[in-house]
Amino acid sequence: MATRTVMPFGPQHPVLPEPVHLDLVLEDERVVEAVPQVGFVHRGLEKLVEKRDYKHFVHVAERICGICSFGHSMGYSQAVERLMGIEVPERGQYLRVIWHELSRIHSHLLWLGLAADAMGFESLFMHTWRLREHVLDIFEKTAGGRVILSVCTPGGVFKDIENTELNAICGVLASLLEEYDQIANTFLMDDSVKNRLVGVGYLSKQDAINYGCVGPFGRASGIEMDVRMAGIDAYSKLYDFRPVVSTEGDCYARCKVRIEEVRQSIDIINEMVGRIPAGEVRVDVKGNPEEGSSAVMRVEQPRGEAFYYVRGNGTKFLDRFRVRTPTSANIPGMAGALAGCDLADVPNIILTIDPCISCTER
Amino acid sequence: MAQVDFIETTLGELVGAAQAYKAKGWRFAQCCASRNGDDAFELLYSFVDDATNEVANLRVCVSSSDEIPSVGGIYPVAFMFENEMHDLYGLTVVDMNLDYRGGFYHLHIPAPMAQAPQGKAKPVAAAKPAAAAE
Repeated sequence: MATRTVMPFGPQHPVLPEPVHLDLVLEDERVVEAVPQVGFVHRGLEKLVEKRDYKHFVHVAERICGICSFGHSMGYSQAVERLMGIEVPERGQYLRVIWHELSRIHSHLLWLGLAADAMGFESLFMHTWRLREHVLDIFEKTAGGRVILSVCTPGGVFKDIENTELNAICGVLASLLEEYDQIANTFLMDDSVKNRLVGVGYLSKQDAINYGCVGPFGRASGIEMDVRMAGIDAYSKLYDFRPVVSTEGDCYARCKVRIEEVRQSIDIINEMVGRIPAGEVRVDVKGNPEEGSSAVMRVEQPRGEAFYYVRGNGTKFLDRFRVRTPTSANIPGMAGALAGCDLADVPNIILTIDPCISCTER
Repeated sequence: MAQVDFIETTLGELVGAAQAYKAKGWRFAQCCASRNGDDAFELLYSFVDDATNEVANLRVCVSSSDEIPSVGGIYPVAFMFENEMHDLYGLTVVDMNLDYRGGFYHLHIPAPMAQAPQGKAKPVAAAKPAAAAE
């Protein structure tokens, strides 16, 4: 019988952009068990809601994460809107979806680049991030910022985008798609990529359900769950939305799901631009949330379902703001996927859940 | 829009209610604590039916001395949030399937979220420049 050893992995590791630690229980080179540990950079942003005006707090919520910043501002705003019974004008809802789907494209391109970098495929990494720059340019042109957009607020969005500009965005995405197809082809067909990902970090559908996995990580194991199917706000206007699902359950499947989701997001943006109504983009929010009122909201972030909870107390400060991020839900599943893998595959498997520790420790 | 329910329940009924949601095939979304005044807390356990997008939130009122039973035996993912409730609010959750014993978060002060709100921070006045020497 092989001797068991415990190897610490992280919190500082070349493949990890953020600190997460794992105690890997090994039998020779095989991982028997992985015990995750987060909590190195807890920031206490949720506590700040007690001393920031609920309208201003959206800027704190947005700073929970630098990648899905728009999604967090949207999730917080929608939760407050549900708390106070506010209806956002349709054009504002459409613009939110457009910015949110652009965020998903840039997040997935960022992840694909990181995955290529982790595999040592530097040219693929650089090409992927070069494409991502086009999306950041769109952010800069429409919102003024490349990372923190500060356009979402309870009641709608601060800025409108002219229809001519929206059509120009579709043009940029069409040309991006041509180059993207070449990169996607490399990810899906290249032997050096396949050798690192196919059959690695397998998680069955039943295990994914038991662990409560969400987002591309869960969908790659066959779970047909995507909050966009719930049809919240302008997502209800989509003609037909079906989540991208794969049944292989390995690292390759997680890569494939994200690659298809980029194309899906471009389709959603094109549909939204084609049908966006004219009108206001924001309503004024007056008064404070009632004492004892509470609301929850779910948003499909690039990494999966994020869950928001807000509770009012009759003042301009909220009693409670809570975010359950997709990474929090996926860490137990990641530990499950690591059990039985080779030590050399651990970085790739961790990366394929697209962990965001900044979100998790908010 | 899918239905969202808030259901008041008691600590004694919590595990049974979680088992009932598990039996119906609902997913455990999260649990969290909130301050409810001095030495009083509200726990919120959220479950989602992915087929209908219905959300059910079980609300339980507890005090700091109560022992909260873990739902980790029913939903393994719960250990993340139960350890968080312990570290951030100082609550006692018993029988967790993975207990970090207060080491889940590396915090400067214990149970920071259990502290009363301190009001809006006042901006610190800039120090006046020293008078120029004559």
